[in-house]
Amino acid sequence: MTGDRASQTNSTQPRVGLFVTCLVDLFRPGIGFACVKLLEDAGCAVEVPAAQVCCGQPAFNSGDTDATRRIARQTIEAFAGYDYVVGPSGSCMATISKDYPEILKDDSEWSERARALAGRSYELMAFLTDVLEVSPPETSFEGRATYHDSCSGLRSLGIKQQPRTLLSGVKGLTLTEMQDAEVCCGFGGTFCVKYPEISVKMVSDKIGNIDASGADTLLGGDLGCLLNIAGRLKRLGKDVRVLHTAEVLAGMADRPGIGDGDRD
Amino acid sequence: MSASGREAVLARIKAALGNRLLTEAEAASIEKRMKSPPVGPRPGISGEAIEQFIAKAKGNLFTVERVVSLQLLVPAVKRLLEGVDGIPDISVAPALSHLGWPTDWDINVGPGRRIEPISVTPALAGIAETGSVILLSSSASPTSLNFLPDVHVVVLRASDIVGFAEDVWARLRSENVDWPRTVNIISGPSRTADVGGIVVRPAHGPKAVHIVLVDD
Amino acid sequence: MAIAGESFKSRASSALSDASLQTSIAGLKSGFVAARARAVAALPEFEAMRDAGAAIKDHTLAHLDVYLERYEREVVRQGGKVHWARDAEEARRIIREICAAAGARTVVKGKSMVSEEIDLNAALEADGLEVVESDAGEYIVQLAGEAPSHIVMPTIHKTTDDVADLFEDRHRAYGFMDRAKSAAELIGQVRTILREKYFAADVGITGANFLVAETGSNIIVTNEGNGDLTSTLARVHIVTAGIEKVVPTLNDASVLLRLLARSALGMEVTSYMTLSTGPRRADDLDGPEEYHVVLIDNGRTEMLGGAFQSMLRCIRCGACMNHCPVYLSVGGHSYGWVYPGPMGAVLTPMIAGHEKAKELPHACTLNGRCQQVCPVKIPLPDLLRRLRHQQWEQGFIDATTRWGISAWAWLAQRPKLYRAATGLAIPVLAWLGRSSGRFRSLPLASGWTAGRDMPAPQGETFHAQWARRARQK
Ligand code: SF4
Repeated sequence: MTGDRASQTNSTQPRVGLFVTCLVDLFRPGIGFACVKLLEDAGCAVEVPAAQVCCGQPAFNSGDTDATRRIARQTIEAFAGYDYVVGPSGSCMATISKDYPEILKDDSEWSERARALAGRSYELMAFLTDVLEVSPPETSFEGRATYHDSCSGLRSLGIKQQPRTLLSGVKGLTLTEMQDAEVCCGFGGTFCVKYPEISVKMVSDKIGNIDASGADTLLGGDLGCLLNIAGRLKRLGKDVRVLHTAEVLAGMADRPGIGDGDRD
Repeated sequence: MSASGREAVLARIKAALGNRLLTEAEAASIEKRMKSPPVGPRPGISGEAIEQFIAKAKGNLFTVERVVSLQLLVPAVKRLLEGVDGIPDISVAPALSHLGWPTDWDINVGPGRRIEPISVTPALAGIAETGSVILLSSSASPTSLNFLPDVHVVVLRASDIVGFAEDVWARLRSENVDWPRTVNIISGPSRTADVGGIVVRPAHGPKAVHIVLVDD
Repeated sequence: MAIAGESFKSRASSALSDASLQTSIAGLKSGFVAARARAVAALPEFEAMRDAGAAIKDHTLAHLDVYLERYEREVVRQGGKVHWARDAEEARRIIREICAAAGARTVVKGKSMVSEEIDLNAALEADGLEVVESDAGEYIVQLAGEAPSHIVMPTIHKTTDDVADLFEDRHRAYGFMDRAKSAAELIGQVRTILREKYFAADVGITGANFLVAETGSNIIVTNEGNGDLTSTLARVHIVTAGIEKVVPTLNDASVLLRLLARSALGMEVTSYMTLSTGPRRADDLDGPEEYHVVLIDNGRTEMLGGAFQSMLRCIRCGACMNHCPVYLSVGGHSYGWVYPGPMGAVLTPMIAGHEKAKELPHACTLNGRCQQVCPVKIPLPDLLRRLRHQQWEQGFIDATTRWGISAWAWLAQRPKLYRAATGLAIPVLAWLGRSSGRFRSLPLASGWTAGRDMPAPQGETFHAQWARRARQK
């Protein structure tokens, strides 16, 4: 599919390679399409290299650094030649922009390429705000939302204000900050299945804070966390919609929320 | 025994650091660092050092009283003892024993005792940054008097108030004093929160610290 | 204390269902986190101080031999003795010998994490000595036969009632016949009992927050004043310290002290910061006749000079655990040894080896809040990940995880195959979950579905839809 690369771009448009992330690919493709819409509305030519799967974080965080290196090289190769690489996850984009250069720093063939890729890789909200400097999109969403700051995005990439700034333009949406918005939800990749009891305790604390905020919608920028929070909310029978920020900003929040079915 | 431990630990350290000798430049920079120690980032001081000292000391739950001369120390202690029944029984650091304490009091000049209602000791300096007092041990000021009493009276000359602990270290370095066994930086009464997270005063030391600030 | 880091999961599980423990830790969460945040907000220079603190530690560690030898020279010049211990066993032996030479019967101790690390109390008690902890928190856990559950607040797992029960039972021997009703009364009993012990003590053992090469001093930081009574009134003062505690000068110590009080307790200062240097001088009226320092390696040189060196910057403030959502869920005892929370999850395997602490590096979401608050900027998540890597390389990872990750990584390197597999499976799952939008249980996913529903896929995978879109264009 690399064949469609540059097919309909004009030379002034930034060419963006979309890093879909494996969770979005599998669980919530709508977030990927929301990214495409937001990026195209902002004047980018968006392409989706076929040779991407996952950033390799599950292997990296489990200690399998060799496999991570192999996956990193594959990703670097897949995204060579784009002006930017953008993805709807602070966690995956931090792996690409912070961890790839680190684990490949002693590899003479790849270290330079890893750094180059890192230098043009961005999380979606940061890209729209800090690089493209777009004004908040004009769209509407009825709801009282609260925002969960996912850890990697917040602490590795400094994503805090960007999504809030973008959301400030959404008509009908009120954003109420919850207590401990910056505290981990307990997802942590494989952590959530290795230590389910602790993970459930952490996500229950998070849900206590969501409840206390009075929000009817939970927004966030990382699908891993959102699946975790939605999974627990639904188990507890709570009527809170869970959506990725990109879906709201792209005006694509009219479908069932994460973990909600046709029936809800 | 420990001689072998010494050589072994030092050898491990040197090996971990790559077994290399200091370059001349490194040795010189270490020497310089030790001789004129750099001062790190510090909080700002607002206004006069003495004003901040008093404000911070009160924040630390010290009580502070200003007197115009050291001669007024004894009356100040008398006032503290007002309402206490019986003959006052106090400990006074040798440095302050000449100040004309009432002859009808029990005055202990020496180290602290198991039961020590009140002690009076001199401070070397006050630190405006934190409202702390610095006390040195010596033959004229035993350390136990700083920790055993229920009420600790600290005598501080206003001119000894400086901005920061580093100023005190600089003063001690320049005076080239014999380094004392103990330097106490005291910033409040003894306290603990180890039972149920509830703050209790005192724990093992004084429940109250009263600073008599002598203008000079 | 036996190292039980490998039983993390089962300990954590009981901790999660211990209501009184959960109440106790909740106080930590609200109180100390907020206090630290206020202290930091009040100090614009805090970030610069963190950088300075880390730089001081890095500089010292890079020349650790030089500074330790200078430190030793000053201690000796002031009349003290310096002992060097390769490991816990040697440290215990040195201290036992000092006690024996002093003809000691009673030993009073100030708070010292390294003495917990070398399991000192048990060794001294085996020699027939009476060993009494003087920090109120350490005293309580000692009386209860427990280990501290926090490096700064040892009793954070205990309620006032727990302590009242304990004292009611154990303080009769001291003539306290009635149950104490308040924290103040309970602490009053400790004060009364310890006052006698300080005067009876032959040996006083304290830790050291810092050792100062410039003057040969050790610095201890307390709020209670117990450490000072311990080091002043006993005939012999022994300081136990890890070799990483040395800093070059008093100015360096001052920078780190500013960081320590704020990070540990959210305060600008603690009540007492004390520099002790050598034994009593010839004309002093009090102070110990002997002053010994035991410098302890016990695994520290293995961290020096390599990828884990930054761990040796640690000033034991406890901020990482106060901010760790895992520690705040399961408490300190779950970690199975003396150092809990993020710093413990690094230190325990580094000191005790992976076999005894296999689980600890994994019991973390790598959320990074610890690193964000660490006053000396230790990259704790990165160190934990490196430990996982060591475990992977050295075969400490269980077969299921290993197999699972390897299989997944194999597939992730074959995009076409991956696409084909997921392109088939995902629509099926999506169809199965379409009406409720989630699954209450799924084969092989019990770890997830025990406490959570599993959201169902939205439909076909993104890549399948994108490929079709591209074909249609
Ligand atoms: S690792 Fe950092 S935050 Fe944790 S105890 Fe050590 S110095 Fe404090």
